[in-house]
Amino acid sequence: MSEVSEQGIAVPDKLAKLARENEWPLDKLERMLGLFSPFQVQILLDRKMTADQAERLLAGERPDENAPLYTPEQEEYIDKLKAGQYDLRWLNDQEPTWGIRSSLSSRGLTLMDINKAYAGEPEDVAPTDSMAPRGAVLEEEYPGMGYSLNSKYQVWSDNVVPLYEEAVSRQWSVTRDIPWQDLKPLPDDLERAQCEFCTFLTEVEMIASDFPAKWLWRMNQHYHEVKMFLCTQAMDEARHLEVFRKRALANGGGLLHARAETELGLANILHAPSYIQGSFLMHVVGEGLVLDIFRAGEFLAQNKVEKEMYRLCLQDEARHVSYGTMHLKYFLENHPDRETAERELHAVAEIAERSFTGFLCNSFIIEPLAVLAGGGIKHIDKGMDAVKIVWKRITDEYLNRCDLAGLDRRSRIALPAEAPY
Amino acid sequence: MQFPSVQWFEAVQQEADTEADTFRRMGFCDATVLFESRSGEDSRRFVLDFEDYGMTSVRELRKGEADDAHFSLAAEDAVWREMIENIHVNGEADLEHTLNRLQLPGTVELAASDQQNADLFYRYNQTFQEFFNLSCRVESEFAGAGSA
Repeated sequence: MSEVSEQGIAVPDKLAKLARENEWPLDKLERMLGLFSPFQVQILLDRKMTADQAERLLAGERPDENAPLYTPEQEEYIDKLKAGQYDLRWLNDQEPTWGIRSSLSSRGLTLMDINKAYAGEPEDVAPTDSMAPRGAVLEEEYPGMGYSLNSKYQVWSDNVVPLYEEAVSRQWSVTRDIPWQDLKPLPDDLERAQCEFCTFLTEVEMIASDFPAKWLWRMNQHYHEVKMFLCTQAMDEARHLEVFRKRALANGGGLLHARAETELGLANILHAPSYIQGSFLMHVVGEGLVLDIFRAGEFLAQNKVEKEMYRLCLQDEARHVSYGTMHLKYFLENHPDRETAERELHAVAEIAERSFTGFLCNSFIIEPLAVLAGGGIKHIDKGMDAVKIVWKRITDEYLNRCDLAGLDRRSRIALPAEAPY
Repeated sequence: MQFPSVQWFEAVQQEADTEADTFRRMGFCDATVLFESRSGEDSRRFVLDFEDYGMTSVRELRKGEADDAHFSLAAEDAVWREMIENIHVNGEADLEHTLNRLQLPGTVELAASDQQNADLFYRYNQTFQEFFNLSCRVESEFAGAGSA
């Protein structure tokens, strides 16, 4: 609990009590909270820092030489250690894990192995607002991390644990694993098409790092596997930015046109008002679309470099899509009010399907694809046939994923099954 | 060695065993794949189990026998033959004969009970491609005349 002072600064009750005990005037506490977080202030109050010493900090000076370094409890512990007395409470904790051993699988010690052994099934509602490991001995009270996603259905997917293991196992290096030495000059129209395509991909890929980064700290640590998987996704997307930027700049072309229309689609994801909305937009809609664009990139590759980079990227992307699809399924199946949740997601899908057109009717995306598919600008008409295949694949697979998740878009989809051009 | 056959797939896996470091670096691959080669009304079907870093077992299905594969890759004999011959000539699939290149327009059909299973083809694509690329080291004979 906290009260808002006349100055508009929230003063947590616990901190107000500590301040009174340390004889800090309220205005001092408020001024400290104007500059520092409640947790920083608590560190000082726990150490019995005086109001005068705090005043020096506020003035940007070092507190005087008597400013305490230790809490009273720490000072007491230091005295005991000097006398040769140890605490040893940790040695006597009655831990339920004691004596449990995890068995190994053929590939080593996986998260699935240790989850089988102990505390592998997260609770539906996280028991604390802390980073205390799932299954650890808990204390009565924690400072509070301020998580907002504290229920399993808000973040979980039943495949997230093996997906994390798979992600770690299938990492790759842009510098080492792409045969850059095989890159040869291309005719200008093909190089320009590949560079425009790579400019687009360099621009969009890291939205799938930024989005999970925005939500990670809000996810309760009880569901650590989800957070770990999203960390691998952030790394994957950093690598995708790297590979497409390198390709654009490696062969005499360069970064070409970045479009505002594309940015609108990205902002739509980053600023989604809830994790489920953003996850649906990013993992299911956006990355589902990009997965097929990567497949098209591999299909249209002009050399081994491009073959490898698109193939490796599509593997990463497919993991992210897999998490998103299964998260949507888990969310809907476990939501306390499924009907309302579905209604909201259908409305989001109506917008999302319209955002598809920002990519699939974007001349800076589909025309480079058509030039690559046709083998040059002269055969762009022929190349458009490949673009039409990509449109169909994208819509088919999107609907299949929605079916699997239990969100029936098949009867409502705004997009036509076939490309309108 | 006759393509396709259990012996042929096992011979390819033996080659993969000699490239264990490469497959370890590509990462885990957990998928059961139905490989189907069609000739008119007839077809031959093989179930390939991939686990950890490579193919751990292969068996041919009897006619009408149900499979437990995550997804299937099916094509006419001629399509597979051209792919294998291309790999043999080039030491790996060229730009026009990779699995994804053949599958995207539907020359090779990808089918699965749901999209999650179909997506395994994408998630482990590099492993599958490398596996088939190693068939360049296996002498392949095809029904009718010819070998690669």
